[in-house]
Amino acid sequence: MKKVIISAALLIAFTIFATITLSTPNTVLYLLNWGEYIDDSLVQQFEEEKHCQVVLETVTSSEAMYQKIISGTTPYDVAIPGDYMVRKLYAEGYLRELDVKNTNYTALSQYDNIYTDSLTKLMQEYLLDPVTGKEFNAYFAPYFCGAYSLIYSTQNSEVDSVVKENGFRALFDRSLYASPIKIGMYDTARWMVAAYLMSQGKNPNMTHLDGSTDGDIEPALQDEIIKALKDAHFDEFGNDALKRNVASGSLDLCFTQLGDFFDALYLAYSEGQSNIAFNVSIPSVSSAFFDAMVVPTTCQNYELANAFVDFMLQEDHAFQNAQAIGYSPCLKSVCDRYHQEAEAGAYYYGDENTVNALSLKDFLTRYPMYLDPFGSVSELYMFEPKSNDYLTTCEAIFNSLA
Amino acid sequence: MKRFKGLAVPYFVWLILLVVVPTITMIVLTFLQSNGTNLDGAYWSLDSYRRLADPSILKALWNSLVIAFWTVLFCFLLGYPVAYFLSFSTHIKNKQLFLLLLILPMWCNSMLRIVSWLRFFSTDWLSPLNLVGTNGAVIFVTVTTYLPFMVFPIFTVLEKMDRSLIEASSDLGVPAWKTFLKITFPLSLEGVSSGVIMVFLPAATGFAISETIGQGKVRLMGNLIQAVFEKNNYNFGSLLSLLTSIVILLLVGAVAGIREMHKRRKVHHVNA
Repeated sequence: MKKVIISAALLIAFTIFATITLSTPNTVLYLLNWGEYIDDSLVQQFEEEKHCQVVLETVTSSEAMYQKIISGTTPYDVAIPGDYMVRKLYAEGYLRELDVKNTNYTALSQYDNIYTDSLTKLMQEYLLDPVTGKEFNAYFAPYFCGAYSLIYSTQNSEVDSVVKENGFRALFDRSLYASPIKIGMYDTARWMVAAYLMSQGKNPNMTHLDGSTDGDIEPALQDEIIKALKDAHFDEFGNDALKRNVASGSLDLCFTQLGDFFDALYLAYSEGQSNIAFNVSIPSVSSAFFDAMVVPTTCQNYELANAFVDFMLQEDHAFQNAQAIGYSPCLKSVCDRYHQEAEAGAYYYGDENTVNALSLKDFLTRYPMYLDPFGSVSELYMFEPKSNDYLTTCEAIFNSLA
Repeated sequence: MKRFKGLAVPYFVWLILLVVVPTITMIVLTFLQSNGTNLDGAYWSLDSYRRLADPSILKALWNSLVIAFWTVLFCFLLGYPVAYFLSFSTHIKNKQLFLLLLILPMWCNSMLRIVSWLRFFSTDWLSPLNLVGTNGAVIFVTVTTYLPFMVFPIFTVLEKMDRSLIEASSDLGVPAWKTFLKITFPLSLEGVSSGVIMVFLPAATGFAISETIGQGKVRLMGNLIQAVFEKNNYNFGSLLSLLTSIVILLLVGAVAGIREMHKRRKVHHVNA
């Protein structure tokens, strides 16, 4: 009897062990991303297709991403840092070249035909190897892009005209308004600095009053920025809450990224609103940004990492991802797809039975900046914090405000 | 006693690994300019010390101390009566239950509680008060977070107190309030000073509450340190951390010193 029980127990234990072992995917892809920056159903689809598990970790800044990658404690296979961090990671040798030949985009190393023209131009200008001065396009694949913008409430008509006429100055100069208005500022120190410099029509990378962009911000310029930020008397410092507060009308205006607006817009529609009382404006002096997929040298499953990049670059997937996330797509094919779908009568929100439906065609007419974030910008910069020192100074500036 | 000496070894290993080595590392880092903890291409520099001249740093430190001071004061004013009644009340049958109720909120993550307060302050009927982003709201939430740290040490000391002293006092016709001031309170001071230190330390150095409830308008030392470390400037971050530690050590040392002095005076009294 005892023998029977023991063998039965062993059999059960073995079955459980075998089930666990077999059902657990033997390969894991570590993805380092921002919060709410990928369509979960795509991740699921990838997991099913490749019979792997995607372990997602999120951060709130490119610097945090950098630290996580170089610390090497988790072997990240794919990360999606911001533009300047891509360059830093590349320059310091933390990136592996993508296996471009085995992707759907064999021409990945020459972006001309893949990414939107405006983005291509930006990359050709800014993402160059610091030593050779050449492009290193095979090391990264742009994911989403956008521009620094202003979201404002349309309930007060005055705000609309002030924002459109003055760009980022609308954040800092209350004398532009006849009525008292509430202004929100993003609590990211370096963005405050950039917003102020651009409000003066200057390069956001400027560090010296003479206009040079070398090294750290000089004390005289620091004082000027601190004074301007203090005089602005921002009603609120925040991050994700800002756009919601503008959407609900408790703020009149805030500084943010373009994608945030579309996120808030979609949310407003899904909450059943049909009168959208907020809008977005990209000032004529603004800064572009994009995030790109990279494969860090910590990667342990190079093939799978490449497969993931390739998967996300496929038109269907990239289109689905853009629809889910709301940031501006980087791929030319996805932009074309938007136009095709719009012509075919697709909807941005809802369908013919939805009360507050918005057709894709109307959406693209109303918000042309979605597919062309840099179109209305006459002076387009690429804001790139250069050093830890520079960033620390930005923090000290922010700290001076409280 | 010698037999048990070996038992202290893990403690010393712990102390060296988690206190001495990190402190030395931080001291070295303050004199360097490095890329985070990566020392490739690092060089000696006093840049971090130069940054200390920024008046906003002193202000952040001062703000932290002010917030911590008010937090300690309110925790004491709220916590002492609670501990007192819990210890002395004859009506409460199940003290353990009340103690459990006090720590019950701590079973849920503090971040969750902080965000809940933020949401609560932003509700339709509280938002006109504009509480979010004020020192008052930050102090309030800090008090609710650390109140148990004040109640427990005081309660423990009160529980251990010899009740016959109080009986003797009342037998000699001393009014209850005077008994409290002359006997109970002085004897509970040890618990109070522990409570003060235990509340002061996290209140002065934390950053989560000021970050969430302060919404960028309340900037404490903790926020600055967190931000600087996040920007990969471990050199300046270490210096700020050490500076904060020194200031707090001095303050805690002062509290402990006062306690010692008090004790010695008491002994002196008894001997005399």
